[in-house]
Amino acid sequence: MSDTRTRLHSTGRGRLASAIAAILLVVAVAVVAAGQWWLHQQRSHDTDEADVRSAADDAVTSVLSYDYRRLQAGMRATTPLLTGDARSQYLDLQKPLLHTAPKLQAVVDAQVKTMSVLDLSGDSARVLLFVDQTSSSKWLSRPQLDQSRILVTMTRSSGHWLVSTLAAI
Amino acid sequence: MISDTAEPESETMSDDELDPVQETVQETVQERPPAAPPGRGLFAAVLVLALLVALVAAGWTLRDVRREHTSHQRDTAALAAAREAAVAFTSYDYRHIGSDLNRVADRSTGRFRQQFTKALGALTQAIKKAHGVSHGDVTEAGLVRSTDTTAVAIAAVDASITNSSTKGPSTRRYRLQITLERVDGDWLISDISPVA
Repeated sequence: MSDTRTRLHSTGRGRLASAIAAILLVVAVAVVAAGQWWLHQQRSHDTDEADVRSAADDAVTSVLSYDYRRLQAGMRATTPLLTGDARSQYLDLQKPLLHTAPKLQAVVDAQVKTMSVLDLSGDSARVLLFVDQTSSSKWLSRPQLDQSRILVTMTRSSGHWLVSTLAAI
Repeated sequence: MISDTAEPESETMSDDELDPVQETVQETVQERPPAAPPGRGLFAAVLVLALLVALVAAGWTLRDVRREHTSHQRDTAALAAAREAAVAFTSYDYRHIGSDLNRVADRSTGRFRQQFTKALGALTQAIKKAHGVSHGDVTEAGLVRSTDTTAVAIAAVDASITNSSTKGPSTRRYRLQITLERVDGDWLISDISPVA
């Protein structure tokens, strides 16, 4: 009888230990799942940031540069990098440029000096860029340098980051 | 996995429920135990192993999460320090120029601190002479890159400047790059210069 009691007792303790172990297991697994999910979010945020940087660099350089000898080609290359307001704004500026640039033999070369992704969440981002624009034309005896601060908002559309607004600040 | 290994356990549980009867049929009880422990033992072993693996994985995960979280906080602190530095660098008043410039010197480190401290006298004289007042305001600022010990930030700063040679205030638009170094947990200016 005492044997049975000991067994009973040890079984009860075993069950308690098993229950505690099972609860701990569930908690640990939950911690791993939640933590890894969060870390995955952070890592994809970092990847997104790298994508935003390269897309903003390309688009801003492209929008703020032109060459009177290659206006159409420039337009064809630039337009797909833009969307929304930035796109219509850019296209509006191209019409007068097609007339004046060849007359002035204007060439503008933009270079992004440095940039920072200010905000990034989901499919939209804000980027600050410091841009140098070197202009030359028939009327300028030597190239003119313009230094500007550009703020763009980027929108992700079917996997591609596009510039949706662009403004000098 | 848990439900699989739980089955043998439930068998032994039903044994226990039969206890009053078992007292009278001790033979059966004494015969049964050898069969029960292997199932229970296996269950316990698997549970303990799973628990160990899960605990180690949880430990690793928490360590990574903490690292990531710390680096976020570090970046936030670096950006705040860069903003303060940008304002301090572009704001001064000839009436209290000494303390204004010292604000920059106090927050800097290394060669920049030496250079700035060295130029302090000449700078103070020039600003006092011109009755210069400048009020800097950060329009936008963000980090370019950062590590545990260094960070680079850029800031678009608009400064409203008045001095004896100009009639009204004029606005100067700065493109500043601020390099910071972390010294004893504080982000200090190791360089601040216009992006030319």
